[in-house]
This record gives sequence, C-alpha cells and structure tokens, in this order.
Amino acid sequence: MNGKSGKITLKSDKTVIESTILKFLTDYLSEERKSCQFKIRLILSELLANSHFHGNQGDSEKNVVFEFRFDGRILYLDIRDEGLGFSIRNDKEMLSFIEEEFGRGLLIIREIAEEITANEAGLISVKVDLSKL
Amino acid sequence: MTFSRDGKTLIVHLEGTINYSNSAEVKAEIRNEIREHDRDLILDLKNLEFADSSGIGVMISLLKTITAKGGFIKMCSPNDELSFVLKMTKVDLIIPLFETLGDAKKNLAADYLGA
Repeated sequence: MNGKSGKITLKSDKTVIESTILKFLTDYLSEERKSCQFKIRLILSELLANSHFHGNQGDSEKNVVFEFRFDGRILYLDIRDEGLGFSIRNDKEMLSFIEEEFGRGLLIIREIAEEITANEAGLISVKVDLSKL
Repeated sequence: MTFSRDGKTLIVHLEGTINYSNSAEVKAEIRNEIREHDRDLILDLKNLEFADSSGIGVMISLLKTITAKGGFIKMCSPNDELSFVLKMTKVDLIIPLFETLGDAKKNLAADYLGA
C-alpha cells in the first residue's frame, strides 16, 4: 500500500471519532501486523481524544481535522482542533505520576512515534515509522 | 463486561474496548458492582482487546478504591498488545500482572499468607 493520503474533517464527538479511527485502520492499515494496527489505533485515540476533550472542550459543534500521509512505511499524522493549541511539555518521568489516573496519553504517543510536534495554532504533527513497531 | 466472585475477591471480566469513549461508564459500572464484602479485585483482561490511557486510568482508579478498602488488586491474561501498553506505562509496577487468572488468585492468596 503506497502513497496514500487524505484529509478528514470530523465532528468533535466521541462516537464519530471512534468510528473514524476504526475506518482509517480498515481502509489503510488492514494489511499491517496486528501489533502495528494496535499501536496506530492507540496513537490516534490519544491524539483525537486530546483534541476533543482539551482542544475543543468536548464541544460537538466544533471540528477536528485529521490529515495523513502514508508511504507504506512512514505514517504522518496532522491533527488540528479549534482550541488554543499547546506546547509539548518536557514530561516528567513516568514513575513520578505512575499513580495518577490521567496524563499518560502524550507519553504513550512519545513511546510509539518517531516525532511529535505541536504549535500554538492547535496543530499536532506525529511521524510514525511502522517498520519499527 | 461480566463479574464473578471467589470468596472476598471480585473478578471483573473486561471485554472489548476501554478508551476515551466509554471509560467513565466502565468505571461507574465496576464501582457500582463492588459490594461491602468485596475485599480484593482481579481484572481479567482475557477478552479486553484494546485500552488507551483512559482505560489505564480506570485501572488506577480501581487500585485506589480497593486499596482504600484494605484489599489488593491484580491483573491477568492480557493479549500481547495490551501487555505492551501496561508495561510501557509501568502500570504493572503498581498493579501486579499475571499470565493466568489462576496465577493471579495464587498471588492474592500469598499476599494474605505473608501478611
């Protein structure tokens, strides 16, 4: 599967987000290993949930824009919401908040992705090398 | 999700997906099932296909609930992908993870023998 790309604008709604993630996996990554699909699903869940709950404050009147490019090995993901954006903080060590209920999403993305960047306009870009998953 | 009991241990047989879209409901359902006489908790992950950080948050929340009751919590039988997430986020350091439900029960019994 080479040279796939697309742009999806979706309503900031939990059900819509979930169905979009599952459709993306089916449409573009169905030939990938199970572990690879799991990790991409994980990254997308963390990114889109972050946009929905934090960027868009759970407001289903707002949108999330999800762009992707996939060359068969590297997957580039750009997620934009209608929030104020955020800076990728220099995370504390995992052990320092191991007993907290929240705060693992970004760490999960960092662990799986090659790169993650964010700008103040609410755009988060992630690069994943599927050959390393 | 289904529940079973073994003495004072509530066993939660999780299924499907626990993520941002349903974690609040899953947490509420489990908490609602915990009775006064339930001391310990085992999370059986055998049929849990997927969990994200919100799903892990549910597990941490249950750890706090059970610890407050003076009990122990264990997890068992994750698939390979879920095992990766639990270990990567180091949840297995605070909620012991076992390959089988039998192993989790044995460890729980050992906790009380050693106490």
